[in-house]
Amino acid sequence: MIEVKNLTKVYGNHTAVDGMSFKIYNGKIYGFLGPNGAGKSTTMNMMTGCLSPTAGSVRINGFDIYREPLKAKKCIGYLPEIPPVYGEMTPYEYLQFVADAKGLTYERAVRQVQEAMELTGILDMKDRLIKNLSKGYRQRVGIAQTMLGNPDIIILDEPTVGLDPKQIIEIRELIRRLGETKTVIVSSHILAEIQEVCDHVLIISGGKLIANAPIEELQGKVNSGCKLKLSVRGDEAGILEVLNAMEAITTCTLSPSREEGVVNMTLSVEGEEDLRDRIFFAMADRRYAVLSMEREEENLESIFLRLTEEAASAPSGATKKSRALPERDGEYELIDTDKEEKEN
Amino acid sequence: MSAIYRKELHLYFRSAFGYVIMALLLLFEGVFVTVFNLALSSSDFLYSLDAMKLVLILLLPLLAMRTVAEERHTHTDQLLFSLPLRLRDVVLGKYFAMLTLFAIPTLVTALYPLLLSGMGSVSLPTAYTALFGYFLMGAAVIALCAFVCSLVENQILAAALSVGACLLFYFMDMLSGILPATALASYLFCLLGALLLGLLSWRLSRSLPFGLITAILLVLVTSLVYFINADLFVCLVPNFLTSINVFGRMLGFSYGHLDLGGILFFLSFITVFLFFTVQSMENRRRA
Repeated sequence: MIEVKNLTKVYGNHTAVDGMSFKIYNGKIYGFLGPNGAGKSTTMNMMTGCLSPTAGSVRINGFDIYREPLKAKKCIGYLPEIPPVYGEMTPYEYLQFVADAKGLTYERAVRQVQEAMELTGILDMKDRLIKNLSKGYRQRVGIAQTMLGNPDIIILDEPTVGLDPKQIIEIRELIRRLGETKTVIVSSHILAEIQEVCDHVLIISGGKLIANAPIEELQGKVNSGCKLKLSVRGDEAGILEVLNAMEAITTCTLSPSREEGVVNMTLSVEGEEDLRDRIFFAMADRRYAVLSMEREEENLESIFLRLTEEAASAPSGATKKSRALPERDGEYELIDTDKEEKEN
Repeated sequence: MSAIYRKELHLYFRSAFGYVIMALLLLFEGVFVTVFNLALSSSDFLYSLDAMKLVLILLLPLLAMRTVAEERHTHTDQLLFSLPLRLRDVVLGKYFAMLTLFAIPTLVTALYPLLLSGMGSVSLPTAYTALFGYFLMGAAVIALCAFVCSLVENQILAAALSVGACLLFYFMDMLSGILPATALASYLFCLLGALLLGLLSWRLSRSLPFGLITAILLVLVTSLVYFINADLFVCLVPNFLTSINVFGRMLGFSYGHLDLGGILFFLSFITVFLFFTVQSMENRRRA
């Protein structure tokens, strides 16, 4: 188990990680998700003792990584963003060195190196120089290294960056297999990856932890509400009046329309109720024609974008936020109408 | 420590690097022994070992660059930081690996006095004391270069700065000759030194109060001593610089004098610079 308390890293006058606190429990796959430069790598480097924090503490299985580094580091295997491999060594020699440095006896080292090579699929490459291996194989050598010494926790920083799709699938499969017996922490800026592999997500943006929840919960939170995209022919004031009468609608964003007298809008709806029937009949009563109505489930991608954008715009005030949303919706709208036109 | 030591040696001998460094050391040792001993029919190793100083100044920084500065460039230092190893052991492992690479050609050189003794009379104790001094000097230069290389990220810069630091020591006697020997001048230099030490302790400990206290204490002690007995400061700085000159310290050994003070000096010089190297690497983790 890892306990991170108030972890902060300041470079000059730039705060890379800002008071982060969370706990990592055993036996799950955790995902660190965040845009580039959010502070994922800095956090991981501090968690593994590669970097000293400006403030805060990290305890691994009860051992403080800065006060009892040797005991704490025995509990983790870490793969930094760039695999720390020596080009002049073969994977076998490299893994033997790491096993040696982790204090394994010769017999254990030989056995574990063999197991790690089997699991990561590098047996065929074990006698080639690492500098001659492809990026995918180097990454696997890096992952194999983390497994030596049988640590409880494995931390992988962007393990699939720069790999081809086949390699990505293989590495994900490997992460899942590791997750069966160990606690694994994976960082990524690719949402689909986290969604596919992890049980629990920590979303990081601007050095702050902005969400920390099991993946189903995060998806569930959003699925309880939905968005309706609506296109209605009629006068704007009248249409808004109809919609205002419905309490479940929290926001209504208008977007530009190409047709005269047609109002396009996106509604955010709270609660489980499907409002589509009510909206349709309410509009029909007032003789407004509903030209199209589409229900959009909010997926993890949009939560991620929303949360990271909120975090990014939070210091500059709410005005920027409310202005940013319609613009983006407007873009979506235009793309959608183009698509519809083509289909017609 | 042993894991790092074995890894470094493995890396030296996996590429041409280790062989090239050893071959160059052997080549120049051979050339100088031919020129100063064989050609001049002399049994004195003083001149051949003296000429080796410049070779060491050019080769040992490369060795340190490869061993200390390269890890940072290839990002393998992150592995060393995340492994359950003490930084002290990492530095010692690397240091002993460098020392081994330097020791092998020196051991081969140790055959020369025996070979020469077949051709005439050679004072073996004098020759081996000189070689011992030469080895200690090399060991001290390696520690100095390791420290300089641990300070910077760029490998070329690391090598250039190391060569510069070595040359500074090499020309130390000449430099100390041009410094004024009066008590006041020495006192001012001591104050400057105190401030520099304060700056160094601030940089290494990352604690401004600690650096300030160090500087103030040193300045106070220096001033107190100066005002009690200014005569102590006459010639102090030139003498001090001469006494810390790693290259000059070898001279006693070259004449066959097993200088106990010299041995202690070299060992403390190595300890101080290895300690600084550990601090500098620790500092990098905090950066």
